[in-house]
Amino acid sequence: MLFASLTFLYIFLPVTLVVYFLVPNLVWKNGVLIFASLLFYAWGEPIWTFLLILSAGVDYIHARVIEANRGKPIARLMVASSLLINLGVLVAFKYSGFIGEAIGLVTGIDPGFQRLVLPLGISFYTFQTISYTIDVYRDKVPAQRSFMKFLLYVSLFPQLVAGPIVRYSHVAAAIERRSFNLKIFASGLSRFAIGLAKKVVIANNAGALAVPFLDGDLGSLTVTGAWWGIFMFAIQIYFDFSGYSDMAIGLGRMFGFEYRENFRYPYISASVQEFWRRWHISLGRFFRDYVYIPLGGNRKHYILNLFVVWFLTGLWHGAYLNFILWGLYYGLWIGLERLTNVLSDKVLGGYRIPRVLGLLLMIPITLIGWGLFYYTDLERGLQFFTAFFGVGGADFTSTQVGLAVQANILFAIVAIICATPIHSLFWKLVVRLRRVIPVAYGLAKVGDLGLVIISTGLLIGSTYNPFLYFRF
Amino acid sequence: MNLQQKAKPKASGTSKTAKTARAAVNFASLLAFAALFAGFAILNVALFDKSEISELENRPLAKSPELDADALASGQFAEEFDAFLNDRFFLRPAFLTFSKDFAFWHGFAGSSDLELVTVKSGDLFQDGAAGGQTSQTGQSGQADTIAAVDSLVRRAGDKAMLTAGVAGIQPQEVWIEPKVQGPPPDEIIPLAAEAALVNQILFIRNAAFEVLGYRQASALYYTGAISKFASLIPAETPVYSIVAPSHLEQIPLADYGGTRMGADQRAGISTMYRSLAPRVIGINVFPKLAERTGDYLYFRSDHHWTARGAYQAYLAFAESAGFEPIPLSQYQRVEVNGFLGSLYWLNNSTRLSNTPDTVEVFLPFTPNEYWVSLESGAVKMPVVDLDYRTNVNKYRVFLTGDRPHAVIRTEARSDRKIMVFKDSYGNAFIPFLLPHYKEIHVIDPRYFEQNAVQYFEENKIDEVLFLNYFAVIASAQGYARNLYRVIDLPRGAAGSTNTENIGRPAQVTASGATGAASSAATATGATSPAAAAPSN
Repeated sequence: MLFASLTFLYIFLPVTLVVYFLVPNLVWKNGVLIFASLLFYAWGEPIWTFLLILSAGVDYIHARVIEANRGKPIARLMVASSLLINLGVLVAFKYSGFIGEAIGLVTGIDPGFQRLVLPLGISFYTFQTISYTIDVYRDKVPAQRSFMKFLLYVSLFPQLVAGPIVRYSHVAAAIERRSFNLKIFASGLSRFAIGLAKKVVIANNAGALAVPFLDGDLGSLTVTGAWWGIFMFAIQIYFDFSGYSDMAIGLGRMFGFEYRENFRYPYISASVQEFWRRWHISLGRFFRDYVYIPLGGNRKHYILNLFVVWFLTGLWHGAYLNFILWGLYYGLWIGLERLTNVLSDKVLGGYRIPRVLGLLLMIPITLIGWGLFYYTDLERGLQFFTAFFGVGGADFTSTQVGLAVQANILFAIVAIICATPIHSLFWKLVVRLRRVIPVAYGLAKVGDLGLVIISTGLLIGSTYNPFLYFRF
Repeated sequence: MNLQQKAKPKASGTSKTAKTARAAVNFASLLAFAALFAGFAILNVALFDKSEISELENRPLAKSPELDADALASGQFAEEFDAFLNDRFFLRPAFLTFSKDFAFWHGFAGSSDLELVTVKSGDLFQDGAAGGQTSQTGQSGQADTIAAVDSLVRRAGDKAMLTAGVAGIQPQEVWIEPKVQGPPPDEIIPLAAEAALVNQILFIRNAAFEVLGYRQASALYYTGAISKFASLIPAETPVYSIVAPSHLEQIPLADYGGTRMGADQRAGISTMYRSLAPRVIGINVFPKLAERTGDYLYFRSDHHWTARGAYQAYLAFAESAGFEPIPLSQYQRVEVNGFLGSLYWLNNSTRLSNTPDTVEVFLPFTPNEYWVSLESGAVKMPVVDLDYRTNVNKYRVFLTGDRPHAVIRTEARSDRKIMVFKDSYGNAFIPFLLPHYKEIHVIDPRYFEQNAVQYFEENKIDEVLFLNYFAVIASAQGYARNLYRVIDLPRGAAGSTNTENIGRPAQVTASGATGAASSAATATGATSPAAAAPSN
């Protein structure tokens, strides 16, 4: 099920909330959440629900065995076995077709692997269970004794299909004990409303605006058309994904779970490293804690570690060569940044470029990144970049671009503003004016309600509602 | 200074009240959300829309899904339930209007002459399921799905408004012939991803135009289907292909201070024709359309060509097929005023509603019987049905809209039988064929459910024409996929596709029944046109 659907908004969520708060104790409430989550997952693709439960079962048992055999070789073996199973499932479903194609390309013999339809959220929940098992092995968290409670962690519908990748340690306490708090619940509602609007009002529209340029006849794409199109895609993907994370965080709060932030205004970054500290934080941290640091981090074979991490980051986003290129592209920038910083420390006394310059440099860097990300068809990607860089005789601009920009300039400005933490300035002002705090607060709540109604209207008005991260 | 001193103690006082106020606001917001959800739920039940079809969208509304184990396990129930809720949400028309208007609040109109609006039209060209089957909700097909509806339009009257307001266009004579050879039919693999959706509407003064995309792979996928069909029928049977350009291709934007917009359809179409199997004759309709530049060849508020536009293509076809075309002047001409077409219903722009289109109709004079296959059996209808003049989608006067399958039997002095695979562009075109063929078999592969090769053989077809419009086949692949589908469908029992007995008096009882049904259908055609029709 999609958050941004009428079925979720007007049937699933209200019913789940009412039943959840009607049943008496935590055991029941957990039961309600598990049932609701499995229903949420099964809606539309019931057959893979068993895979989700199986995956939870595997790590539940592995973690129990690890805890019972702490320090013994069998614990290590269990970690290896868990990794093998989890990654095996992920590779089988997500990468077998890609691997087959690669083998075919290299050896000339097609092993006949098909690209399969991905079970929903598999990239997210396998990473969650992996992190749990490793954390138990590292003695960071105690193993969960109740399978139902562990299943609740894995299947909890707010984060189930599109993240964030929640660590068990962050929600372990809430699984055992949580209480209703009006303030937190209300903030969850607000957060959900904002996330919904980010997805429906901004991301979906930006997507529609990008399509004519990015999916059209690339042979006639102009330079400005390429920039405008990929700019719209940059808006789409940020608001889509962060909107989904906002909704997850908001829903989590309603049920008493506090998830960590997954996005912190990535587009105000002045360096690539900063961007990745603000973009899809839970994924970056996963790779940092479970791949980069175990490999030796920046202390030994830094270049290799960098390569491995960014190769995997790219690959995680999809079983196509372009995602790997996209990951390595960022790995390269991060390596370069580190190099220039080290050089600057030695030669220029630690000089750093002004923040404004960094911000400006990040515009083309990010847009080129999204260009790599957008085209799974490398030939079309190449065509796009010839237009983007104005080589190969692409016209500079066209009436189509001019009219499109003109017709959507307000939308673009609003989207840019919403991608910055400008609202915190607003709240600072409100706090300074003390007296209006309750009024401003009340207005904000009215605004949230308005966002839900507007989103409802746009949802009804359009079936153009593809969610980008479902199949990752 | 004074103020500050005064404010300070008060501020610390308000912080407590502020806290209480905030809690009150929180509680109020909780109630408001609860009221919203409960209110919408109650209103949804109270204002439940029982109608079968959406006048506004000109398609059947989703039916309440049936709950059974299979549907649940396959996810079909979920899909149908979502569609059902979407379609039956209370105030749906109001929400739809709001979301159309929303597209205009994104920025500013261009000059007074040119304006571009992006509509969210995921369902515009989208094909339902991946396998080429038509979708459950009746949303499949392409541009026609959106074609829509109104009864409150003002009359046009002013003849000058009939054309797109374009004068002095120099027809472009260059016919580009790039050397592209399509892959042989067996090697064509459909793209993994569905190709682009077209979603920009350009306004020039009081006319609207689709800005179309082009994907060579999709275009060649379509011509591959034609070549494949040709390879399965006798070599001496003529096979023709007409790809009709859209309205925008007729407008040199330079006259409005603009540059080319969207696909180069001229180049795209010639690429397609070059990729056809050598025996398939691609018919270039550009010169004939250019001869009549400035005429009312396309609607301003609809994505279709007019009967006049279709007539120009008919002239080009006559040259290739080798018959003498009937002059337009021999037809009785009827005007149907107040037509607002699909491009209007996508955005409700007053640019269009202030000057609605007129549908010009040229009444066929060849005696004929037009038998439309419906689920309940064949029904006789008029080839040009003026009852549809009161319908919102007045383009349906031609052939009564898109039908999966129909046969026209004429008393023309000819013994030729033609089979036409077409989308809605064929509807305005086919009535002109009446004087030249004994039988015209009309097939819309999007809905057709028989093996097309078997059909060809059993009905002893002499000529085959594929008539499609650029937007349907040049970027998305749904239509072509359906072509491959009807070519590859398992053959039915021998004789099962034979149409000889349709409406024949030989079957006395059946004939009486269909006769009654046909007159009923004709009589009620105007009031419940969609009763038996697939979405148009």
